[in-house]
Amino acid sequence: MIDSLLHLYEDNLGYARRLVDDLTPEQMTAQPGTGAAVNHAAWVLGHLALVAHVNGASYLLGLDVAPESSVLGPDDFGGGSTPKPDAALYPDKDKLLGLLASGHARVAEALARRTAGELDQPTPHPGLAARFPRFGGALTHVLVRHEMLHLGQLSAWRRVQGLPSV
Amino acid sequence: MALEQEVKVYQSQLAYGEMLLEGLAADKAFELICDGGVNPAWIMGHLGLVANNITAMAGGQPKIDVEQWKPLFGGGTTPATDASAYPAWDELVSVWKQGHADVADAIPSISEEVLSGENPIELLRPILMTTHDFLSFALTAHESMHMGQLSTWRRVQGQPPLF
Repeated sequence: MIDSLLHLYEDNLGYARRLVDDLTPEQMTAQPGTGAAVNHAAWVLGHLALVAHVNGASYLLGLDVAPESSVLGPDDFGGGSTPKPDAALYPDKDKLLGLLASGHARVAEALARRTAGELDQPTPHPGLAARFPRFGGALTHVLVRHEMLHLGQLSAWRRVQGLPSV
Repeated sequence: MALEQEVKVYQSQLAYGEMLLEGLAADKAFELICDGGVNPAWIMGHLGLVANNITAMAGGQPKIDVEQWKPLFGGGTTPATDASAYPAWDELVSVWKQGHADVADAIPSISEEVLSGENPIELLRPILMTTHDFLSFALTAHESMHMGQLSTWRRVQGQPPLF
């Protein structure tokens, strides 16, 4: 299961890179549609980096919070925060991608040190344990399912703006 | 049991999908909001087709005519707004929901030999080499990606976030 998780997690990062590769700084915070606060690329990258570095994957795996992640404020990127259509409010694309990549690297390294038996243990996170009683399920949810949900949002967000499929 | 945790995640996607679909009228479900995009009807049909394919892979009996659904909902197909070309909305949702139950029942019967064997979907083999790799992806990342598309489809039309 660990190999499979690592593989899918790595694929997610590659997909994230492809989804934002051709975006201009202005496009990173575009909110097409009726004016609703749609999750844009800057918010999604920052949110996923926050989850990797601070309160999701790193927390589950018992990692310290990386100092470099201090720019990822929960008010700007936490679950329930509202994305704003102003590029000046967000770190640029390279910075956000760099933070996401470094978060992935830390998480992947920590996960690779775990054993299959450990992933069968109870989930050490009360909020997640109710839905995913086993550690492996909670990790699959956070590393793969949660990330891909937001990347799917970005995929559709691109198409609404007339950008090509990646 | 192999893939037990992945099945757990797969089942949890059902509840989230139901939240995304709550209150969605049948005629609205076929609406496309942009060129090249997908609508809820296509997403439900596509995920229902995948679920039936997985069930068949495990030796179970599909609940739909897979060959009829493939040209409508197979990967790479283009959704049309003409609802008359598709199964009814209620049927699409029902097949998707039933598919989750069928997959959960079918997965435990797949042998280790099959799981470690070559991914039967040739197109995906370069990135998902084994049947286990494919199922792990299909139960978690694949369905979630399409749920994300559904989420954006709602949000750009002004509907509020669910969380």
